[in-house]
Amino acid sequence: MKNIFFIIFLAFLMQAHAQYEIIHEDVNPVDTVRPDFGPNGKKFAYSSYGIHTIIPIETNAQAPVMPGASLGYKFGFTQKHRICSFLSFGYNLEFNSISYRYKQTDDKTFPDTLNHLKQSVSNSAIGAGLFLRINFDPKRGNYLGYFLDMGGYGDWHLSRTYKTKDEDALEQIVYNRVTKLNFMEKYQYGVYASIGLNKINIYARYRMSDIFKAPYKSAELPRLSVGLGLSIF
Amino acid sequence: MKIFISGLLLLLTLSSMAQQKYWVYLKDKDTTGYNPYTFFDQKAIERRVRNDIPIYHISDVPVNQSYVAVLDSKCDSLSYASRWFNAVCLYATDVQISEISELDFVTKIELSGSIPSFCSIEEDEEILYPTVLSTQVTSMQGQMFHDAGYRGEGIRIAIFDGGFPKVDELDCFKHIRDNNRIIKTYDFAKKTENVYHGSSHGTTVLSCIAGLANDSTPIGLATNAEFLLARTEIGLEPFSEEENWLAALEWADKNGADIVNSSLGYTVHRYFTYDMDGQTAFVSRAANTAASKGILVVNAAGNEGTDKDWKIIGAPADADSILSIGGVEPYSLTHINFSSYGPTADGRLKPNVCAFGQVTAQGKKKMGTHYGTSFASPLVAGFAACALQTDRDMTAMELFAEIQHSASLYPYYDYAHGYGIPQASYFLGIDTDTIHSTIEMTKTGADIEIEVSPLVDELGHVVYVYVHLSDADGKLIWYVVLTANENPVFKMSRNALENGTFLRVHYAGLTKEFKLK
Repeated sequence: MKNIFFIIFLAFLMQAHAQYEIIHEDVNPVDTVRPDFGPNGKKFAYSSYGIHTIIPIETNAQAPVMPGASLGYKFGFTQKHRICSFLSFGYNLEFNSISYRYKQTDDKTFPDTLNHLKQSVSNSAIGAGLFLRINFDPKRGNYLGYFLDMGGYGDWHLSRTYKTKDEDALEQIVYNRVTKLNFMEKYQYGVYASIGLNKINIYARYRMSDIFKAPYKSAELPRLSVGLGLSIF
Repeated sequence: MKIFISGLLLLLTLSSMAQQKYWVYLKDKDTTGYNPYTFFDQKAIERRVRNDIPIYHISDVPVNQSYVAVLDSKCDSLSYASRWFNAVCLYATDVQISEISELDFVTKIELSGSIPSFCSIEEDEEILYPTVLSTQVTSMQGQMFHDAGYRGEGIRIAIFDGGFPKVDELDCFKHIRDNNRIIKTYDFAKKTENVYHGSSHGTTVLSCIAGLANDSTPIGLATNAEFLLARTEIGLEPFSEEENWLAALEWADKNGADIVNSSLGYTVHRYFTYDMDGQTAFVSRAANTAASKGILVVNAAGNEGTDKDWKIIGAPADADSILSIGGVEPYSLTHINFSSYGPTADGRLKPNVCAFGQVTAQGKKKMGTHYGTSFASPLVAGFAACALQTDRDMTAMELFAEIQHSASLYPYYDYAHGYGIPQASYFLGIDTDTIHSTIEMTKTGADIEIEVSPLVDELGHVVYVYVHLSDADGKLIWYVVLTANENPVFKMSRNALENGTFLRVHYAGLTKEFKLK
C-alpha cells in the first residue's frame, strides 16, 4: 500500500513541479581525525533520564514500604572525560524525586498506628555525583559502548513531604500534606553504580546516610533503589 | 566513604584482571608436511589455477602448532588460529598478554572484539508484493540467464549468516537438498556442523540466491549452484566473534567457494568513520585476503542510510576488492532510504552496484516481504554465479569488474547506486532495446542547462536523470537524481562550478561527460 501512496505522491509532485529531485547529496569529506567531543571522544556531555523504585533489603514491620508502589524519577546532565580506551571519569548533576508508599498493616507504627487509604513520604533533591566508568569494549567507534559506572553522590533535599489520604466519618476523602518535615535530613549521600549499553542503562543507588532523625530513626527509609535510565544525545 | 573507596579500588583491580580478546601475530610458519593438494578441496585448487594464484603459498600454510601450544599454556583460552594472518585469537588478562608479548615468536598484538549487525531492518511475513518477486530477478534481466541455461551450475557459493533454520525442511530449498548441493555446513559460534537453527536471516538470504517459490518462480538466480553454509554470528550476543567471520572465510577458501555472500556490517560499534578506508577494519583486511585467493566476496552495503552520524559505507563493504551492494526501491529503482551511502573514507566508490532492498523471500515459516541491503547482496551473489558460469575462465577480479560494467548506469556512478543494477544481457552479448536518447548541454548566459530526449519512454513512463559533479580524480562533489518531465531537466549557475571538474549526466542508458573549463 505504501508503494501505491508513493507513486500517487510522486505523480502529484510531478504535476506540481517540472522536475522532482529524488536524491540530492552533497558529498562531504570524512573527518580524518578522532573527534575530541563525542561518545568516545576526549569528553562528552549528554542529558540523562530515569525512573526507579526501591528494593527493600530489610523488612521493617513498623514502617513497611511497598517496593512496587514507591516510584521515583530523575533527570540531569552528565559529562565524562576519557582517560584511556577502557576508563573514563565523569560527573553528573541531577534532579531526583522519589515517593515511598507505606503498606497499611496492623504492625505499622510510623508515624502513627492509623491505617490510611494511602500514606507516603517523598523527597525531591538536586545533587551531584562523581563516577569512574569502565568500558568492556575498549576497541569501539564513536559510541558509548558497554560500560560499568561506579561512584558516589550527594543530594540536597529541596522538599520533604508527608502525605496521607483518608476517608472521614462523612465518607469524604481527606488529603493531608505536611511539608518541610523536621524529622528528615536535608542532605543525603551514598554510592552509585550503573551498567549500560550506549543510551540505555540500569542504575542503582545505595544511600549511606540516614534520612530520618529522632523520633523516627527506627523507620529509616530503604537505602537501595534501582532504575532504568536513558541518555539522550 | 571507606566502602566507596574500597569499591573503587576493587573495581580498578578487577579491571586490570579482566580478560580481553587479542589477536597475537606470529613471526613464521612450519611448512613441514604441508601439501595443498590434500589440504584443499579440489574446487579450491581449480579456483587458484583459474585465478592464476600460486597453489603453494605461505599464507595458506596452517599456523605453527608448537606456537599455538605455547600460547595456549600462557593465555586463558584460545579462540581461533588464522593461517591467512598467521595469528592466534585468544583471551588473556593484562598480565598474561604482557607475558605473551615477550615471546620471541610474537611480532604484534591487537585488541579484538566487535559488534556486527545484520544489514536487514525489518520483515513482514504477512504482506506480499507479488510483482516484487518477479521484478527482483527481472530487474537484473535474470530471465535471460535462465533462458540461456545459466542457473549457477558448478558454482560454489558460501553464505555467512546468523543461522539457517528450516533450510533442511522448507519446500523452497527442496531442489537444492534433493541434488545434495549443500556441500558443507559449519556453525563457527557453536563449533558444530548443524546450522539449521538461530536467526532465520540466513534462510531468507539463501532464498534470495537460490530459492524457488511454490509456483517455481525463482526468488534468486543461482537455483542450481552449490552451497557452503556458515553460521558466523549469534544475533543477540553483544561481543560477537569477528574471528568467526575470518574463520569462515578460510573455511570457504579451503572448501572451494567461488563466491562468498555476507550480509553483515560493522560500523560505529567498533569503528570511527575515518576507519572505513578498506585497510583498517579487521574484516575488511580479511575480505581483501579472500579476494587475493580468487574468491568474489559480495557484501551488503549496510542500512545506515538514514543515520546522519554514519553517512559512509561500513566494513567490510569498504574493502576495495569487495563487491558492495546497495539497495534500491522496487518501483522507482532508485536508492531505498535506508541503504548506506558511500564513498569510503578515502573517497573510493561504494557501493559498487545495487539490487532490490525490498524483496519477497522465504522467511522461517512462509514467504514474505523483507527489507535491507542484506537481501540485495544475495540477489547479486546469485547473479554473479550465473555470470561466472557464462565464462568459467574469469578471475574473481575480472568478474568484479564485469559486474560493474554490466550495471544499468555504467559508466555513470554515484554513492547511492554505485554503477546501478547489474544486467545479464551484458554477459550474454544480447543487445537489448533501449531508448534512443540524447543529452545536450547548453550554456545560456551565466547558467548551464541540460536537456534530454525523449522525456518519457515508449510506455509513457517517466525516466530518471542522474547528474553528478566530480573532481579530476573522479571523486564526487555532489550528485542528484531527477524526474525528467520538462526540458531543461537540469539547470545550474556556471559560477557554482570549479575549473577542472566534470559534469556527468546519465539518461536512459546514455552517459555524457562534460569537462568544465
